[in-house]
Amino acid sequence: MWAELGLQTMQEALEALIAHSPDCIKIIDHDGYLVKMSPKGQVAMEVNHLGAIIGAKWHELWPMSTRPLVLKALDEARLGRHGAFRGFCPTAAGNPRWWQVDVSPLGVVEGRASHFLAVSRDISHLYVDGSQVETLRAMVADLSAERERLLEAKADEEHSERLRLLGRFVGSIIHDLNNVLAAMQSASSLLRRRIDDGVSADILDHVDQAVTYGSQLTRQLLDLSRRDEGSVESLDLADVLERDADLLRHLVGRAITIDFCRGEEVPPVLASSSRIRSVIFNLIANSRDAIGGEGAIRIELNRRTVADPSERLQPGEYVELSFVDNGCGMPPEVVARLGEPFFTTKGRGKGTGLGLASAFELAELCDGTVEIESQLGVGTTIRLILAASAAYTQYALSDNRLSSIQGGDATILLVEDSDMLRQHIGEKLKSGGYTVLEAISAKSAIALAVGAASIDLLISDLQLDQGSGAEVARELRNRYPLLPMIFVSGSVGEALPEGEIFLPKPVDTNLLNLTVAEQLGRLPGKRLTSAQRARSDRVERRIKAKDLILCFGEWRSLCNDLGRLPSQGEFTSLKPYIERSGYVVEVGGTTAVPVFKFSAASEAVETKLGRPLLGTYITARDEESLGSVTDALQRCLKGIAYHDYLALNARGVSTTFERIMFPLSDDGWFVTHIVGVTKFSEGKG
Amino acid sequence: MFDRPDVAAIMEALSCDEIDQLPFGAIKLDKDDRVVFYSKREAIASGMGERGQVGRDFFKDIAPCFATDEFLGLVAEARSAPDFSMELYKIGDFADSEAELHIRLFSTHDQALWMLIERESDMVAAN
Repeated sequence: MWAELGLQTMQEALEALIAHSPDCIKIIDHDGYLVKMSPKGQVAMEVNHLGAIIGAKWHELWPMSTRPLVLKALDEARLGRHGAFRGFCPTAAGNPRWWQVDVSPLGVVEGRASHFLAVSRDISHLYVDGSQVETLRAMVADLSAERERLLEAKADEEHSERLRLLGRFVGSIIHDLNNVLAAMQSASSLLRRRIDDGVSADILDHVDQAVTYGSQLTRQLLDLSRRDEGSVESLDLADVLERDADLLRHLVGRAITIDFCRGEEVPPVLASSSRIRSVIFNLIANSRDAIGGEGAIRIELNRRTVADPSERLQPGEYVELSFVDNGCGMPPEVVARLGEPFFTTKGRGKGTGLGLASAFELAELCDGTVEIESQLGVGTTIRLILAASAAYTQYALSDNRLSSIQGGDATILLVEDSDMLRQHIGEKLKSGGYTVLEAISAKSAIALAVGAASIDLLISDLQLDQGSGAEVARELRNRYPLLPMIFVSGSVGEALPEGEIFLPKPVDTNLLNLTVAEQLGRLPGKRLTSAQRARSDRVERRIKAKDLILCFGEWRSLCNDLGRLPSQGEFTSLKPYIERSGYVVEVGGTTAVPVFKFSAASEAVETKLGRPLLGTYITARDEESLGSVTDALQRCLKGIAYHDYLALNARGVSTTFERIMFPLSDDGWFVTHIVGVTKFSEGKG
Repeated sequence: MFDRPDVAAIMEALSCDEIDQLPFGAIKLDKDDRVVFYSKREAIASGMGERGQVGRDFFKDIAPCFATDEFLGLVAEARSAPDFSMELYKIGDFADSEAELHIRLFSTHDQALWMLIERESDMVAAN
């Protein structure tokens, strides 16, 4: 027995063991704190500063995934038993290690251990060979860094949450404070009427000054605490930049210059003014910090037209706001992570990592994106790309053209709880020739919809005293699956039914008229409605000839990609179809009385019809087989494709004729051209 | 049945009541293009009213959109052939410019003409 060796020998043996054993031998106190660690254990754990870990909770020195095993072993030892486990724990230097750990109780008195002996043996060779160590080391390093970052992000998030709560609190007491200030002002005013000595008046002047100062402070606090969901409006970013130019220069300081460059015909964007200003200030502050001393920032505002769809941008008009600085730049791995909330390259306490994230968020709200280019030592360019507002004021149609596409047989259901607004919008729509059904609540709107013969468009306020626009939309969707909808509201706080059009209040009349026409499918060069697409889809199912199927398929794909009719220039593969057996008709005249003129015709078509077509006109009197071609042209003018087919069998001979016709728009508004592609064949039946 | 090649013979064998119950419209014209039968289904679908069309000149009074010289020439020339048949897809009829029509024409032994009309319900128009 070991005890027979005597206490002194045992003590010497123990000291030798602690001094020379390659295992990591530790003494843990009853509460789980690390008290001692053997010298070789420090080597095994690659601990340089023992002081940094002595006194720490032993289980907290382990990775999260292993801690339960550590605690369980300690609990076993507390019960006077031997605890053991195998677990992973990197060394202090970050090298991956697996350990066999044995925990034994020491100094047990009345079943309670005063300390524990923990012996950890490196058994990594059982888990990995040498070649894997480097990989694991790198993984551990990454994990450690990630953990650090997450801890910091969590702290930042908690800080942001505290700020948010503080903001909400401030907002809630501002009104009370203003009431107090108003009472003081009234009292001061009453007193001033009753006094006649200068000293008292001077005192009241001080009171009034204090009240004025207090009012300013509360206003500023209110601005600060206001949730950043300000009302959406049509914004000219050049105006925004001009208004804030001095503040931005003040923000960057004298050592940095700011130049503003504005391109031609930059359209407005639909966004919250406070939100966009906040993003601009954040991006400029980022540029300032990246420069760090003397430098230059250039703010460029341009219009960008996107013709081809990409992962980030759909075809259309955009506004590009660029921030170009000659700061320190960023390496690609940092650029790749920009936009992640709380990711920051700045020191702790200097940046929240929310600045660029808010830019990404704004871009997403405005159907745009953020592009970043950066080079170390050269500088950074950040482009905020926002969809142009549907405010067509810069490309407005003439009144004649607009009036020609309004009215007709369209019925609009208008839902607005404000009598004044409902009457105002209703009158505008009626003067455009539309039939308008007016409702003041969600219930009355749904009742009107059920009773109506048909409804072609819903215009609804998002926030109603009784019900909501979303509720009306939901109910009407069941009855009219393809019904186009326009929502109006003073703010974007309310949920907008997905995919629907939003117009900010106060509603611009010109914008309303054009949006209504667009939603009714009367501007197919601007937007094709679901109903128009569905009608063209049904045509596609009937086509028989392979050539025509291919041609039609290409047109449909373009329509789907663009969300509108393509132009001749965009349908680049059309030419061979026309040359083989097609024609192009140019649309002229007015919307009410259109005139059709052949601008291209294949030899095959001219031969079949027995006359030259190029330059000739089609009138209502012109007729072909299968009825008047003008019916087909009229259908195409509505943005919908046409198809007809005839197969004749007689006396053993089979003759077939098939034709597709589809519209194109070169002006981005209306149908300007109609393409016909035909297929003749004759043979023995 | 609509797509069967022997549909003309089947039509000849059916009673008027039976034809009224078919899932497509049917019109029979004599050799002078006068309507001798107009099915209930077609009367309702085309919006022309029940049976009021019997005795009228089809191409002149009922479906002038078909009364083009070229189309009438084709029909006149071909209907005397024993194997005459015609199939056409067309969008728009007298009552509804959005109606999508699938039409088959067959001659009978006495140079009468069966016209069968299948309509794809226009859900969008109903919307």
